[in-house]
Amino acid sequence: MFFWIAVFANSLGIFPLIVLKTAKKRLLPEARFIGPYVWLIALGSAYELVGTLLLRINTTYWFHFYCFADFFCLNYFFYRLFERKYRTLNLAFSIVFVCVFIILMIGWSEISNLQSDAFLGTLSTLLVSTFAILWFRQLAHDTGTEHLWERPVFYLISGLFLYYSGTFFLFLMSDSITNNPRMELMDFWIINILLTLLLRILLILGIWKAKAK
Amino acid sequence: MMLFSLAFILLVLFYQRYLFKRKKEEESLVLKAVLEAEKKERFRLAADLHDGVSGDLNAIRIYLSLLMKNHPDDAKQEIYDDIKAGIEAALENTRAISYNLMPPAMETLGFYEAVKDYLQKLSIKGTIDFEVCCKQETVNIPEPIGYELFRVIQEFTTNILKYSTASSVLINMTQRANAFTMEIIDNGSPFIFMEELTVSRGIGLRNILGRLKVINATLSQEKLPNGNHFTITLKLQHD
Repeated sequence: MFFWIAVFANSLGIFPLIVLKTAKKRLLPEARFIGPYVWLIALGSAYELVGTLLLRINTTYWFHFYCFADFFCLNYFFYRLFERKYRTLNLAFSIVFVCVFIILMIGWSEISNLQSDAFLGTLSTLLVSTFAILWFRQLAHDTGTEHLWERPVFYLISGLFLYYSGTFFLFLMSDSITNNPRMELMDFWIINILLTLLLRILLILGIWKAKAK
Repeated sequence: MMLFSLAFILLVLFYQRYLFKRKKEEESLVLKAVLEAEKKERFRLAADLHDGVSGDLNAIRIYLSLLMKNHPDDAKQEIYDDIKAGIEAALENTRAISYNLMPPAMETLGFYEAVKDYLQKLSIKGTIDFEVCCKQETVNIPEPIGYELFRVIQEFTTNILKYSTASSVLINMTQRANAFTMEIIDNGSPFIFMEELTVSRGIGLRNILGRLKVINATLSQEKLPNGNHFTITLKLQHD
């Protein structure tokens, strides 16, 4: 059952892109910036379904690339969402990430990939948390909307915030869990799968709501 | 960490809703205060016009009559007549302005009679036949509510006179134990209130909604092929 939930969560990654493409130009501006991230998720889902599950290709290089692309897609989303208001913060995050990435690449190997991906994932979590809090802080004083759930970006930001904060410790501990003979990473990986499911559902909802009438 | 983010999101959700409600309450209070101030100012202006300007014009008319009587002059008769006509017109205009600012019948006879009187005057002046009817003999609503409804009727009738091709307008009032309904029906060119509200630059339509909001009344429109049918519904609270 675990396997099929994982397959389902993975397959769901293509649906935000489908919803995005059906909306085309009728999408509200603030939701359009999630485009690159949605493409990345769809690409990731397709790769994992075909490459990992069917062809059994080594995922190490893919996850490393995914961490990199994931960070910059999110950075782009927040950069455009805030209309360049926090561009210094965006730039600072980018510089730190690139520096950390280069440093990690020096000693990188297939064996240590979980550890290095965890560090990169931490930076992504920090990025998402910072901008999510900034967005919520900004929105808390927006008295123009009666219900926040009427705003499409609320779903996108909530989904990202919940996913990255929920998987933060899992990714950080993944290397330790793998190296511990008494623990099985797959036992904990269900957290990631469920949160991935939640993220993708919220992405679909957010993009769906962002379709301009 | 996820619990923290979930708690944070919920906190923001509730806080933002709380702020939204507070803002709406404040707006409502400001609106009430503005309308109350406007009402007091209208009352003051109407009184000043009636007591001040009308009084002075009447005095001038009397002096002119005395002058014409005591110093008759055929050569100046035409000028006297012109001055008298001008004074009569100014008096009439002053009365009309004073009446529009604060109809005396509102204070003395109540809402229904004030509306009847107002619509009668409009029918006499113009080409549109205005009529008001009530299923009950009279309407018994609190004065502040009656005042706002009167202004709403004024706004509607002004718009009808300016823009509509209507030849007849009916205002039908129904009062039940805990509700009051007023229908404004005309046979003029149809228009959709909410659509006009978004495109119109004037404040008339917004004023209508603002006044109805203050008295907790609702406005609905039934689409007609030829004409317009608006219904204002108000719940009445009994002490």
